[in-house]
Amino acid sequence: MISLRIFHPGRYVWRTFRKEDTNVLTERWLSLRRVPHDWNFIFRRALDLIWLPNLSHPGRIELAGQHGTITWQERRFTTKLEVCIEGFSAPKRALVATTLLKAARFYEIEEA
Amino acid sequence: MSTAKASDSATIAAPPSKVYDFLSEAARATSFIPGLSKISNIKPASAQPGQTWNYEFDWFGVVVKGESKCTRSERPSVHEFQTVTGNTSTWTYEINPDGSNSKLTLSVQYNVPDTAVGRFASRAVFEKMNQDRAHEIVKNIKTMLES
Repeated sequence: MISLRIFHPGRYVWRTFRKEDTNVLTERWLSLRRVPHDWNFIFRRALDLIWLPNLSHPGRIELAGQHGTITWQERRFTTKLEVCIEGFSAPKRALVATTLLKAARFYEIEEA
Repeated sequence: MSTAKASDSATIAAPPSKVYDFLSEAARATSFIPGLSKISNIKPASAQPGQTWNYEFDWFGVVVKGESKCTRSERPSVHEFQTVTGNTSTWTYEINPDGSNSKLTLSVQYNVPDTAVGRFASRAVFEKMNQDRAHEIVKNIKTMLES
């Protein structure tokens, strides 16, 4: 099926901030949702898929080898997320962040 | 509707088996194919001829949803699949040893829908965009595996 997309179906996650330093990419996202998602599950699945070992904690995932963190804070109708990717090359940092953003945007639609 | 082809190659500092394992898992494709939003309903889980999955592709605002089917799976040298609904195309990844590295070649044979040509002004522009995208896919696989 081919169609034109006017509104992105994953529009409930927006990137609100992006900063690329020498060795670190930081992005902040805002998610609008009715109920909190299982971010731990969503991001760990995405990281496992791209062979990035990780360790989960409540509200936070650590990328092994000091390659960064993903943190989130739940509010009533929103979640604030921050993704810090450290090390690697700049293009790989960007690809990892994009992979995580796709996972965040499309997870609920996939599971619905 | 007519057909066109986009292709690109790169040498990757990884053995062919690693390159093959990385690109042959259907769900992983969202990490290196720009615009590929979602892969779902993968059956069976491992790459093999006959494996199918659903995809959703956002190509500069044109959304293509459909089903793909793996047609060749010869570890570590060839992985091929077809998008059988949506906009039909055949994607072939060939991986050849190059010393201790791998040479990866991606070829995509695809139909050129008349609607897309209208949207992107000309067939040449449409084909150039697809060629650029093939280049980006190969570059992204190299980036993910090397750095």
